[in-house]
Amino acid sequence: MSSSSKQQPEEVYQSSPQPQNGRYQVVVSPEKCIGAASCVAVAALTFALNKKGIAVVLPSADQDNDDDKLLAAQSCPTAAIAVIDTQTGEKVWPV
Amino acid sequence: MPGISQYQAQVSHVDVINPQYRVVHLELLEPNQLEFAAGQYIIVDVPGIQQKRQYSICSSPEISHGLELLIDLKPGGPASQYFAQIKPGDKVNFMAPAGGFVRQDLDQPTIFIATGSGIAPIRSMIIDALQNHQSTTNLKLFWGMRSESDLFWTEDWHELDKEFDQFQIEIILSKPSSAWKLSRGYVTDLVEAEMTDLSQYQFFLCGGVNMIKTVTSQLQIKGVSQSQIKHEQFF
Repeated sequence: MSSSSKQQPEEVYQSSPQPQNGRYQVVVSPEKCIGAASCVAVAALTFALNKKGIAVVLPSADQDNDDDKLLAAQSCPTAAIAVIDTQTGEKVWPV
Repeated sequence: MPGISQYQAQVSHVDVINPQYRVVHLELLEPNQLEFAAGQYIIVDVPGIQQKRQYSICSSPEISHGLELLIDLKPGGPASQYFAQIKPGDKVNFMAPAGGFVRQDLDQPTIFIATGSGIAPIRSMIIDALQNHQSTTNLKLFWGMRSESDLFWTEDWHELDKEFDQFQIEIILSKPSSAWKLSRGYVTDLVEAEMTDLSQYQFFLCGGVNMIKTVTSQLQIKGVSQSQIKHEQFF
């Protein structure tokens, strides 16, 4: 919902790296993101807003746990974040 | 700003403003204090669905034991149905605080532009500035609604307008009755007509995506930089 940004990282991914801990990988659809920053509030090691106010996945995503990643995705008002179970290949969210 | 936490609150009362809008008053149970910045929102667990819903806090951050939410029932989805039926004593679970739609510089003159329930976070910001921080900075509010029957908090706004010289409100209606004596049209008309030197202002826009896009474009044509504009998109 907001265009403000706490962090403005230069180096980001649209999806998280293959997780070392846990099994969830998150993918942001930039065209759906409205910059509400719910994901940033819930999983600050995984998400940040870039200079355009759009959510991006941080290289530190691996340090957040799976529950927080899923909660962050479920908190997105536009369902702009997909969560993939890397062990089964299934999309966990949105369902 | 404080980090996000899980909260449980109890509905203390519900103000039914009109068929579309209501204000839900929550009293915090656990934890029993919430520190937030004016303009922030909460992420509500709606029973029966996994998708969370965001609601801006419309009350003053000075009140830390409870909060108020402005609910627009028009969307009609599961969250609207949940809040349409909520009653005193019901428990509400949510995460808070969230969002960066916050005035970082309280001394900078500000123009707030809202449509519909986009007034919610702006109410919190204006009350916070005028009553909690005794801000003497120039604050203007442009609020667009459809008709007189949609309006609420008008007495409160006019009280603030009377009490604080530095605050001005202009309400504009797109479909008013013939009795309406004030502005007719859309907030974009007010922005178009605004003749003030805008270089010193920051802008807080809250409402639907079309309003935000149009007003942002108008402001940029008037020489306002993107860094002066913050928005919170409601949908």
